[in-house]
This record gives sequence, structure tokens and C-alpha cells, in this order.
Amino acid sequence: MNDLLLSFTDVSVSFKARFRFGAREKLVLKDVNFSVERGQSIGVLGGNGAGKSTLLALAAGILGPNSGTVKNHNAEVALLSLNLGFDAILSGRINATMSGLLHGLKKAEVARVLEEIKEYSGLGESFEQPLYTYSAGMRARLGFAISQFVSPDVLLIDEVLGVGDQEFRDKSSQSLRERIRREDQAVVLVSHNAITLVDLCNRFLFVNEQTVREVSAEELKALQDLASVRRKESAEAVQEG
Amino acid sequence: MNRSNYPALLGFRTYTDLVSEASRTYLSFFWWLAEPAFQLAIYYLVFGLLLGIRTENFLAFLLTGIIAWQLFNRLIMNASASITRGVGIYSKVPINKLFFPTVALLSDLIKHLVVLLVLLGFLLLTGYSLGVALVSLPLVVLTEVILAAAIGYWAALLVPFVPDLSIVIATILMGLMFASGIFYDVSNLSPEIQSVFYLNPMAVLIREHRSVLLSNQFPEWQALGIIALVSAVLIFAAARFERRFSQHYIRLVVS
Repeated sequence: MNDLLLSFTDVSVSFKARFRFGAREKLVLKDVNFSVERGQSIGVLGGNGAGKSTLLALAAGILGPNSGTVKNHNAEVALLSLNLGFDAILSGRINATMSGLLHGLKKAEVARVLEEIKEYSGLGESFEQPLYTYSAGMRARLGFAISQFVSPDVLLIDEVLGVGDQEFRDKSSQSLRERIRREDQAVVLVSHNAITLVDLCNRFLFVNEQTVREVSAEELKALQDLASVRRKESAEAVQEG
Repeated sequence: MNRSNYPALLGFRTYTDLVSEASRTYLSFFWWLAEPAFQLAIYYLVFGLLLGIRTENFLAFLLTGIIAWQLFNRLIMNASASITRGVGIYSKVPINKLFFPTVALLSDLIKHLVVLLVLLGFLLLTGYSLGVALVSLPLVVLTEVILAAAIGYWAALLVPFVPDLSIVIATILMGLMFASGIFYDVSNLSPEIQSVFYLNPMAVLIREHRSVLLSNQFPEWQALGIIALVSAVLIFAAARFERRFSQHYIRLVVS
């Protein structure tokens, strides 16, 4: 089994600031170098707009870099997404099947775990009802239940640690904790919260001003303030804008 | 996305598309037939009664033309919007973008097959003797699907880059509808005009639909072959384009 799953080499990403011909490019990430190996759980901290989600999109193969390479060493990579492919008019069962297939499960695998998804979600008979009859919490529970059965080599998680009501929140964050600690896969977890990351992960990346650098747990906690200050600034900028 | 997952995903997505669409209206599956029927009524009224266009058996003539055209029109309109609509999926999963127009093509094709069966029933009831040429109908339909796929794939791939194209496409389709001989018989036009007219592949395909269904004649294989071949090249090129720019689509929604 190969232990090297993903490697980023001198990766830079920029986006056009506006949808127009000849618009200026805005640099989001610059010269990013790191790799993901089996058994690692990597916590990524950064403020709003720092490029954390861009990093996950690169890792998932959804987005290509402007320069540099993101090499996937034959690893299955999945970005956890709670409402992937959902159609409100269709039943929970049909949506669970669709979402499972899109997350990379085989048809037979989906068929095998459908009852377990129903059970885990705690939706009961609502599982057979259309999604538009669900509350937001019920939808999140369904989405989370599906994600429980998605088991790629690299799991990418964008701040979905706990969903639903308090009871389901405890259950779901407990499940995620167990998965993140598994040795046979790798996890990249993005968050605003350094404490959570230090609690769950064994490697840490800090994204700030277009750069990504590896830091220790202690450094990460110290950087939390910087990340939240930036978050506040960007929130104010939004209000002013 | 693992390649081996695509067949199951295509099948299931097509199924859910059809169920989902049918669930959104009170009359659900009935619309598959009602829509072409209403159109037929309008065109018959305007072209047959008001303008007095008279070819032999105008109703069957018109109906065959409308149904053949509708497949083409729908396939392209639905395909062209499909990648744009698929953003919720392709922003989360590295999926081949041609997945979306392919689902649109498959679900429209299934609806069309139902309509075709009803058309065959109508022709039988109104005294047409469907003969041995009928076995070539699937090939005529297939050629049309390949043509529509070629155009639909390119439309789907380009509309996210240049949204204005969707308006251009709708306008061209409208013009093409009047230039495909749906309401009138092209063979009544002068030979010079006809030769220009049949550069439009849909005019050819509508003619071939009629010769199979109404005259019990086999289609002109060479014409079908040329259309299929050119379309296949375009589809191949679309697949290359997709591979080259697949990871670029997300940029069009982020900015």
C-alpha cells in the first residue's frame, strides 16, 4: 500500500476578480508545498477568504492550479458534502442513493448501506418522504448519515463537525472524531477554530496571506487570534461594502 | 470520480430526473404527450387551416415533422443549460462535465420513445400501413440523437464560459425550425433552393423520418452516414475540450 497520497508542488492559484474579459487576477495561494500521507490528520486554520476552501478544491481535483502541480498518487479523494446532489422533490432514500453514488460509492455498496443510513439518520418513516417535508436539521442528519459510509483514502472536511440538534450533534461529532483518528486513511480538516484542530489532528497548516505553512500545535493556538482578527476585519469589510 | 461509477450514476440520475420532473406537475407523465399534441393543434390551425398549406395527409405530415423536430430542439435546449445547472455537484465532486448533458439527452430520449410509440399508433389508426422500412427508424432516430449530442455537448461546455450563448442558441433553433420543412414539403421547392436547403441536417432528418414512416421507404444511408460521422468527430472534440478545461469550470462560479 502506497503511503504517499497527495503532493502539492509549488502550487499557485489566482482567480479573476470579476467575470469580464481581461479582468485582473487576484492571487489566492502562492507556492504551496506539502504532501498528504496515509494515517495523517491535517488541520488547516485560516481566516475567511484565506484560501482554505481553495486548498480543499485543489486536493479534491475540482480545481486546477494556475502553476505548479497537485499530484494524486492513485488515491480516492472525497470532499464531504452534506447535501450533494439533493433534489427536494425526491425521497430521502432516493437522495441518499444519489448522494452515495456521487461520493464515489458503488451501486452495490449504496444498496448495502441504505438501511444503515436510515438507521443512523434517525429519520424513521420520513426517510421515504420527499425532502421538502424535512426541516433543516433533518436534512443535515440525512447528509451526515450518508457521509458516514463514504470511506476514501483522503477525506476532506470543510467545517462540518456537528450537525442537527444537540443529541445528533454529539453523536455526529463523536463519529467524526473516530474517523479522523483512523490509521488507514488521511483526513484534511478545515476550521476557524484552533482548539478543535489541535484536539483532533496530528499535523497543522496555517493559511494566511496567500501562503501555507506547517506549524506546531502551540503555534497554531497562538495563531488563532490572528485568524479571528482577520475574520472580524473581513466581516467589517462586508458590512461596509 | 471513479470511471467505473459512471454507468450506474448515469442510469440513476436519468431515472431521478424523470421522476423529479414528473413530480413537479399535477399531470406529470401526461405532459410528455400533451405538449406535442397542443403544439400540433396550434400548427395545424395556423398552417393547415389559416394559411391553407396543403400537402397530402397534412396532419400525419405535420405530426411526424413536429415530433422529429421536438426531439432535436429539446435535446439541445436541455443539454445547453445542463452544466450550468450542475454546479451544485461539480463544485463538490471532480466529475466529467459531459455527465450533465448526457443525462439530459438520455431523459429526453426516453420521453421521445414514448411519444414515438403513440405516433406509430396514430399512423396505424389513420390508415397508414407501416412496412418493413420501419426497422430503419431506430437508425434515423439514433442519427438525430448523435447530431443533437454533438451540438448539445458543445453548447453545454461553452455556455458556462459565455452565458450569452444560450440566447443565441435559442434564436438559431427558432430560425432552424422554420428552415427544416416541418410545415411544408421541401420537394415542392425549386431544385437549386432544395440543394441549399438540405445542407441543414435537420431538414434531411425530417425528410428521412417521413420517408420511413409515411412512405415506407428506406432512408438515404449516405446522408445519414455523413451526419453521424461529422457529429462523431464533434463529440470526440468535445470530450477533448472537456478533459483540457474540466478543472476550469469551478473558476467560473467562484468569481
